[in-house]
Amino acid sequence: MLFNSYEFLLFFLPIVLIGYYLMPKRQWRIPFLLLASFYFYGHWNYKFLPLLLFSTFIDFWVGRKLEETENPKKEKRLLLLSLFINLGVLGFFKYSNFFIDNINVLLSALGQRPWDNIPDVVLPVGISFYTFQSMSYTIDLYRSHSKAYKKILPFATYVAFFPQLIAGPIIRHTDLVDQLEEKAKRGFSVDFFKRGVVFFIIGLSKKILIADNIAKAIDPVIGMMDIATTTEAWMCALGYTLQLYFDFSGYSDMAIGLGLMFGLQFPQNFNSPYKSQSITEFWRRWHITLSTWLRDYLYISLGGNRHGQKRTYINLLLTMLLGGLWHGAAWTYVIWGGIHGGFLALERWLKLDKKMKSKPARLLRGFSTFFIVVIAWVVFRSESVELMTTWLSKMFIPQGEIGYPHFVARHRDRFAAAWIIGMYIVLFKRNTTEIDEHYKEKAQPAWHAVGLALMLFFCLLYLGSESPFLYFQF
Amino acid sequence: MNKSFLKIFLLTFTLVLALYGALFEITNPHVTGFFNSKAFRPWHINLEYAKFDRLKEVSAPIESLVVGSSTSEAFVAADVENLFGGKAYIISLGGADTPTRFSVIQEAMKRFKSLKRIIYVADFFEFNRALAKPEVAFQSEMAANIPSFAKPTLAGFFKYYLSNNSFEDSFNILKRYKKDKRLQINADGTMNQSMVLSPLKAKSDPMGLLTSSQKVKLTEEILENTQTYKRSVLNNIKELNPNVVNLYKRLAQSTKEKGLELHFIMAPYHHDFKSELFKLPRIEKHYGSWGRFMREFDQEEHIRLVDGTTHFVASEPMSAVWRDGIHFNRETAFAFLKQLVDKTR
Repeated sequence: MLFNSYEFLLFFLPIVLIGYYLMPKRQWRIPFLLLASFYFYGHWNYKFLPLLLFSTFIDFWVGRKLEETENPKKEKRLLLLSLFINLGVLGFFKYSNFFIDNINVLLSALGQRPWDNIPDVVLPVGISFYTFQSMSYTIDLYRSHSKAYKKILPFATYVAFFPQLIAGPIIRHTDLVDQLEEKAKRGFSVDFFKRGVVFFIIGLSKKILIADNIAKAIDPVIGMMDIATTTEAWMCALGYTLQLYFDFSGYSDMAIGLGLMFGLQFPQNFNSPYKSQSITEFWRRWHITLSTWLRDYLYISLGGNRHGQKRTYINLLLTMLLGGLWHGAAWTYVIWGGIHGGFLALERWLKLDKKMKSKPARLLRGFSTFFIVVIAWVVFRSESVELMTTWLSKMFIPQGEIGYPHFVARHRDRFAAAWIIGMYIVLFKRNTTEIDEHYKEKAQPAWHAVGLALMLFFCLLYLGSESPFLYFQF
Repeated sequence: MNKSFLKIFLLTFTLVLALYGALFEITNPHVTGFFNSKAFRPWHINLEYAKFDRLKEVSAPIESLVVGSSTSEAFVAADVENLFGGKAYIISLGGADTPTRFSVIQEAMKRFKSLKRIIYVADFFEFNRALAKPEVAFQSEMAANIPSFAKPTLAGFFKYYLSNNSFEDSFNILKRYKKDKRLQINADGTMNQSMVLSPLKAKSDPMGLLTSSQKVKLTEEILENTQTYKRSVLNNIKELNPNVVNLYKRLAQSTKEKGLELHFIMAPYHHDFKSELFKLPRIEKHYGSWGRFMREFDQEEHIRLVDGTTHFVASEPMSAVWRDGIHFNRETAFAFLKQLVDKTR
């Protein structure tokens, strides 16, 4: 079930909200949310529900055992068990096909018979997100950063909570489990609900009115990049840059909004990333919950910056390469991670954050950061290395026609409108969290309410052409 | 302060919804409104209903009925009449699902005592879903013939009622009214705009080949078709839909009981379009099952089948009869009809 579907908006969400707040006993609220979340997940593919339960039970059990023992060797064994199971499950479902494909390429090159007749492994939706969430719990306990939970229901609800189950934000257990228990005891909050509605509608509009209109125009052209012109290759690159931001940040806004409707505060996931002055800053603003997760659980585990400059650069590169691979099993994701890791290391070496502070220099930095990010998105979007090289060569080696004949006429105007509005918003306007902060203490103007109502109406009109969120595939 | 914000929000949203509902009901663009307003009826844009409605006015003794999706727009009544004799009527319904086609066939069988044969242009995509289009399922006269399994759910109702298409169509009606633009269906069921399916012009020779520049344009069309088919028309195809399979069997049975000839023409795809679709193994698998299922009908005495999927036009990538990856031209349609006649003899 998608957030941008009639089933979710007209049936599931109202029923769960009403059920949650009208529950005869408040202690039933968490089990109710858990059941609703299981239904939400099972509606997608109920066959993968046991996997979610397995991951939850294992980490809860490891957590309890870690709490009980004070033997460091046993603690380490328990942590390794949790990591082995979580990463094993993730690895099997996410990377088996990739592994077999690469083995087959190698076997073919060596003139051997490839492994055929091996069925494709289907990727369970949301697995990358919930295994990271669940795993961070056992790592935190091992590092003695927190205490184990006594009750399984709040922990299971944290792992499976439907607003963030499929595509994040990757929430830490410390941010949600206690909050769930505490907020379940309280009544309905008009303030939280209003903020939730604002977040949700802005997110829905980002997805439906901007991201989807761009996607309709660029997807077919990317599919025929072989015959696209240079102008079109650039239009696709710049279009995808905005599509991905509005799609994913739209999803995050909707997740945050849903959380707020239940009285829960989720962390910010995007902070106007295209306003960044460097790649380092970009990663402080883009998919913040993933970048902080990678920092805390991977980069620091690798040694962080504690072992000299060279190791720091290697650790940065490794973290981003693995971060790239987390997005999907393809070499293009690894290259994308490598580009970002390389620039992170380079900026650290040049100490760029401390230089070039004048206004023109800042403009230049902003422009070059955006340029690097756009090029890296081309790599990220390409399903294969062949498409990536074709697309990039089209962009940088102009040849033949310069127009945009392959952009279907009926999508051109909407693409242009969505792109111009989108660019204006990302470069010059407040992001959703900033809007929320701005109106936390003062009244939001009435015309905002009118605008939101109109946005919701138009979103509902365009829901028919339902499209999944881009980050669902990860 | 947040309470009043939410109040204004809810009030505006309700007001906008009410205004839209009133506009849709008054203009009634698909003749599906709750109150069935007739204020703008002559300018409606429900093509399925217009063709269904026109069928009721036909007084000529129809002997051949051609039914299909937009692929059947390539069929011309005069060609059918020349080959089979008697009067022919064409009902091509763009993207038509099987229940909608059957609803129209039932109406024709009731209406024309002179009917001798049904020429059914079968499409693979029919076997993905057995769901009638909302413009048909919510149209009271057409809905009477639609089986309950083919009617949309409550969510489907909202999807239709609150959609950009319905919204835009409500305004289109006002424009059409201003210009007095009406749907014109000819006496043989065709429309003057038939055959204008894409900017590409197909060649008149069914065995003709494309030049390389024409091929580039066709490739673009095919890529767009592929996106549409993978994203919506054939998405999630899991098996041959059992309800559609049953409807086909019911059609075979009812035509036999009424002593009618039933002719199936399996609509082909362009070679490259099919190759693109077959990159998804499940589509290739079900396409094969569809072929096997259809060919079994050829065993029945009152049924003749022409398998367009094995024709030259489906296997030659440079074949010039295509307007895009799906729609072939009149000459190809004629070739299929000719094959039917030869088989009947």
